[in-house]
Amino acid sequence: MTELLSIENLTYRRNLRTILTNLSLTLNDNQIVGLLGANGAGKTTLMRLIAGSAVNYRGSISINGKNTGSERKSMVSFSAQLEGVNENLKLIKIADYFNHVFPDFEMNDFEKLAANLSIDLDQHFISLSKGNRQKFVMAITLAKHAKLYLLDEPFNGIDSMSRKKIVASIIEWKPEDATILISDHHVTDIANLLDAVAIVKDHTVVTQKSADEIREENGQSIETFYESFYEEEGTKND
Amino acid sequence: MTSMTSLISGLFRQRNRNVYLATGISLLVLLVTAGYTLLHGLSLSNIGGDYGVIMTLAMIAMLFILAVQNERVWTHNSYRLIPISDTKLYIGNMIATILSFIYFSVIQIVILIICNIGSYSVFGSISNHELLVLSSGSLMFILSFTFVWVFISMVNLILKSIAAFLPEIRQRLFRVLISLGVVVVVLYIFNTIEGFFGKFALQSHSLNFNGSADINLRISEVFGVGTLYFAVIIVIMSLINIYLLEHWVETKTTTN
Repeated sequence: MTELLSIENLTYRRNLRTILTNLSLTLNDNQIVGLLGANGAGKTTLMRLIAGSAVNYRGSISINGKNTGSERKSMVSFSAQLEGVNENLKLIKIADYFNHVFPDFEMNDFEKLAANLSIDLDQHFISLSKGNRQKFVMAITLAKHAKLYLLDEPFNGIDSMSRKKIVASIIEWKPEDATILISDHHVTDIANLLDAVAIVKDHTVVTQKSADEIREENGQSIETFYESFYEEEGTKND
Repeated sequence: MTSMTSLISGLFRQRNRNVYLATGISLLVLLVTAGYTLLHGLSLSNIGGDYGVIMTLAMIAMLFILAVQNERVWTHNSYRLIPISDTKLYIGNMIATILSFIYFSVIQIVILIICNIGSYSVFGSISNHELLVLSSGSLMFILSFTFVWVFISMVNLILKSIAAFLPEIRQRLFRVLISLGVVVVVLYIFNTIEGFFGKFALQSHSLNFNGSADINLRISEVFGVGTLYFAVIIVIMSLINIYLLEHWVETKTTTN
């Protein structure tokens, strides 16, 4: 396994609030890693920093040894990359824009993904239901041939059938050497997919472990392991 | 990495949707005007003049529509995540906006010429000097519009940079107060720079129209100085904009 993502001493503040402090994280290639944490823990911010959407931070972030924003952007496919598209456009027009400006976007793969996920590309983006919107986001994200995929709560608010289709697409379309970092606060949705987890709490990554280690050494399921980090807090609150 | 050509053509194609929409609306207004004229038994001889007014309004509207589209690029992931440096993204975005405006202007001028067919010959008797005035004037016209877009970007990017350091509560109130402050400061700086370059321009080109032997050459000289003046200001403001974009301005966040 080769090191793909390396984050060292990352600190990020915004609006007079500390969101991440001294965070370090290392991901190898060819993995599916769960980024777990409560609402507001900083999962989305961490993904934005990795992808290059957020720029004002201290510390270092490198992917495959490259640390400039544009180099990182060329190796990442982030599920939030559809933010800001003209919502009145037809889905095929949006895909055409991505095909035009993102060199790693594969139109043929996108069309196959869209067919697998039963997305009608003649629909307008604005008219999509939440579930179909998520499916379209996944089709666009996975149609990019990236080294690192950042999937920010891909199952948020969608029905179980759509969830199953998205999970199947992730498994089927992930390039062999690529790594997927997938965030969620409903661990059960993604537990079976994961090779490893990183837990975000108190503005930092408090632990990073492989799924096998959790099951064999701790004798716990991923869900129980994750919840143990928040139990103490829950007890205090009670 | 995305090439500059792909970026510009991608953004240009997006903006053209509005170019065609604005052209369609201006043609519709022209049709309504012509219909109204005919219904009242009047002659269509002044339709070219009518379209001149419609075209002016359409171009002002397009200036602001393109400004909005220009600004979206700085704060949305679908643009900022394009694998290209922020400097190239800034330049490419501005070029796409300028090209769209030129494209829109050309379409409008063609419609204006069609409306004026039969009234008078537009280019029939243009001399070389008049052509020089026309081309230097057009260049200054485009640069003055570019200046507006660059200026709007500068105010917006300064505001976005400052907003990151404000507390989340009462953001709207702070933003209004800071917006006013930023506009005043930017205008003050702009006036100082303008005064400096204005003096410089006057010293280097004392413009004297008394001789009128070649007034067209004099006018092109004025346009030339104006063009240079706008170009320098645009470059200075763009350098500030690129710095802000690279170091401080982030995309909007959506919470899940």
